[in-house]
Amino acid sequence: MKKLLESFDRIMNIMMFLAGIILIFIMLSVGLEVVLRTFFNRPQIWVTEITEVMLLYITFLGSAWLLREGGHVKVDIILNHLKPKTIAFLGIISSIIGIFVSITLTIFGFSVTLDYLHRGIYTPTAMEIPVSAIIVVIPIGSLMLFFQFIRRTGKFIVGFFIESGKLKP
Amino acid sequence: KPKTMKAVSFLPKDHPLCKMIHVWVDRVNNQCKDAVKIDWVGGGEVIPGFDQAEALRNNTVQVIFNPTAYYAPLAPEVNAFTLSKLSMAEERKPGGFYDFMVERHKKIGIMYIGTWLYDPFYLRVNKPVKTLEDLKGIKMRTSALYDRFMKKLGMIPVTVKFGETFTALERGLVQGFGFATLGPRDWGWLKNCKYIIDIPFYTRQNVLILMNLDVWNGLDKKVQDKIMGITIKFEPEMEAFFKKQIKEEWKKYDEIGIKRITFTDAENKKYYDAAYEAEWEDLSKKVPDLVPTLKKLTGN
Amino acid sequence: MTLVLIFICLMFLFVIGVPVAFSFLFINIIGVYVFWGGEAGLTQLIRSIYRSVATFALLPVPLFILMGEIMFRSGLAPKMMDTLDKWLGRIPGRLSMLAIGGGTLFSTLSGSAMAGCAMLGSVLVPEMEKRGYKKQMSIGPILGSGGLAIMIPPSALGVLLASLSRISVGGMLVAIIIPGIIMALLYAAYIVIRCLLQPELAPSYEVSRPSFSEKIFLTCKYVLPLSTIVFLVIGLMFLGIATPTESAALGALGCFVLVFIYKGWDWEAMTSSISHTLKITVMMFMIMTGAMAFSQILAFSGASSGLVKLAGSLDMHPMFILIFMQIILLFMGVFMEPLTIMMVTLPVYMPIIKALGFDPIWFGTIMLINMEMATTTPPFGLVLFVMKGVAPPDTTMGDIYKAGLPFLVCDGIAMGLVMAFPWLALYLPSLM
Ligand code: NA
Ligand code: NA
Repeated sequence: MKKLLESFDRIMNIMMFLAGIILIFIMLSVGLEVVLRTFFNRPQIWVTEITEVMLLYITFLGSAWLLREGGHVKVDIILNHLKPKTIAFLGIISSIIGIFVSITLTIFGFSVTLDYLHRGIYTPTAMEIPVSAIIVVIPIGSLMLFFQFIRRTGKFIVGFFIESGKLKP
Repeated sequence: KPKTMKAVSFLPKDHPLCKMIHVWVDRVNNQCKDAVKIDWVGGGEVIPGFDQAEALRNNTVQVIFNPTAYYAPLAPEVNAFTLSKLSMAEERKPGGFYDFMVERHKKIGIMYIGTWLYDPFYLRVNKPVKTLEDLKGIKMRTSALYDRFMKKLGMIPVTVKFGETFTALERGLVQGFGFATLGPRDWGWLKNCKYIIDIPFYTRQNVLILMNLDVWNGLDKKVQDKIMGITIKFEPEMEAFFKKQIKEEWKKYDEIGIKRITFTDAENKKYYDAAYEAEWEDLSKKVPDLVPTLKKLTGN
Repeated sequence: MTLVLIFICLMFLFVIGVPVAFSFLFINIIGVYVFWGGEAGLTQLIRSIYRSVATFALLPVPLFILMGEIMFRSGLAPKMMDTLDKWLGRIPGRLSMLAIGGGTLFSTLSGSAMAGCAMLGSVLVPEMEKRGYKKQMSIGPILGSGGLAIMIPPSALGVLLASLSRISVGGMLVAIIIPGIIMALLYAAYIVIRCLLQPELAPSYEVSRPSFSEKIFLTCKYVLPLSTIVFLVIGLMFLGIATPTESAALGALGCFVLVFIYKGWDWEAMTSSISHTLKITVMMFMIMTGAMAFSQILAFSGASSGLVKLAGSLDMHPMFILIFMQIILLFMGVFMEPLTIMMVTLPVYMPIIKALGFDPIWFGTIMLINMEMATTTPPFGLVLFVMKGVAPPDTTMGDIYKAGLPFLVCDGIAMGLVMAFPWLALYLPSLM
């Protein structure tokens, strides 16, 4: 179990590392495009389309990692005034909602990806990128979110029982 | 009780190019009162243009007003619409282009009903050009519709989003663009782009009225015939309407000093042919088997 | 009716602590299931997530954030503050003024309020403590000018607002310049007046008088080169050599180059600024994944058009409707964070604004000031919590709230000015 969690964490770190590389890549390619276009009269058609897709990649590669780091913003104005037991209880509820959202996105994300792959659909733009290659990051990221939300639920359940005195910390 | 159909267009509802869609929708709603009620909910803000064909197939909406270029990945042969050199009435002859395209659309779960816009395409540039040679190296704004043609002319297509085009033109990021007649003047695109190459190409617009196939099949034969009748009568009226608008637009072009450019006869033909060749070559790559049929049916 | 139901559900999810991004996605899942025909609607939702984020208009967001992060974490921004410090003589509330000046300067390099506030706080607060500054004059000015990062381009929030309301990103970024400067001037004026009235708030102290040549030297070394960044971001966009997106990339690149020139290859600063940028970007973009479907559901259910009709039928001066809209925003700003507010309100507001015949860029500017205030309105505001992190340990949240209040009033005045004189926002875009 511990090993499983460790490798899970490692995957998230790798995804996050990739997102960082992508960020640098975006900066360099857009900058290069301006230079090539302005001074060498050689605009690169691919830059716009590729960097757009990269934004989606950054979002879903980083999402589960951000959840682990507690970085997804929430409105905690009321939450901060509640008893720890209630907070833990609401934490369970919100994690279950998260599980529902991420499993839905995973299932339908994969089904849309496979459908596009099967039909061989590409974007109706100059680059003609396969749509499945773009969309696939949504279910992958959502699957990681799903696991992370399960972990989060477990954490809050333990917290809830500790606060109710049914479990020793 | 009439069946309510949600409809979306790729342009905003109040866009001048959408004027005749209102006419078509009203006619269908009035004349098929008991069977059909089309509820045109909006444009790209409801469902993005590129996704409207998928939404139609999934029956999220039942009618769309969409250009074929937006869903060409589903069936590349639909790009042949722009290449048609026939009138819409000629296309509708039995066994003709219309029937062929209805069959092709059925394969992707869509019923092709008719066309809602007439407006030829032109290229415009910000400096006088005398020969085709002068076009080489000019940076042109594209959103991926004409880049094959532009490349064939030796022009350099630059991807600029619709909303950034005005700025891009004004600042010389691009030196020209391709578009239909109506629109660019209203958006201020002509302020710095006063030369129009007066050789219309892709005169047959590719924006179609499309319905979900199952929904269409679910309609009574009588209602189907009625909708088709309305559309067949609508198309020439629509064309006449836009021809009049375009004529007025050209008057305004003269008023604001837009210069028309043509080349020698030989070069004019070369230019015009390049527009079509560029697309045919692409179709030959994607649907080689269909190209001979398509050429025959489109009068090429 | 649907609208009310959607908003109640959304608020409920927010209150029980579901992260904002997942609240929107949850509502969307239910919404598309109901309005878009069951499972087919859910496949449509996946496409809408893709389209919401994979758009060129959002590209400046991570790049603008990256700029501020790299300038702050490399230590270049504090150096800039030092130089500024040398120029200021014995003026009332000296360090507070330094916070405003430094904040304004840093705003031209950073697109997010959080880096600005963290930088100013960590550089100035210890010094202010040492000089016996009261909390009103130490924490307040930092809170005030930290938020300027939003109002002076580059501005990540400005880009998001323009993108959510489908108006020109370039126009929006240029429109906020004058209002942003006005806000800085109002802050400065307030500090001077308050310190003249109550000198004990900011005790004056002997300042070393560096020689003129030293000041010039430091300025040439640490401040002038920064103007290249300003040129890359605002200048290139204004001259039309680059689109807003491209100037963002060039600005970020420029920051990296500058840091490299001054500090050499700083691996530590590099990775930490990238990781902080990703944190903010992913947080914002995850919320944006719900943007398109959410506004589509509102449009599809007829809720948006219903409200537009209602606003049109109201027998009120359009200006009152606009003010009323701003009051709602202010209220939401008390307990929500700007992007969330924009996501909730813009799909409803923008159609109304267009129907009333207002200029969307002008409205966007007013709204952005309002959103800037939301980052510092108690009790909830990201900048407030950043402040808590860098403030002296004995500082309570209450101290922070109280210190920020006068600057919120300044913001309100700036907002009123832009409402009364639309050219403050619209003049610069008209030159583009
Ligand atoms: Na402020
Ligand atoms: Na800024």
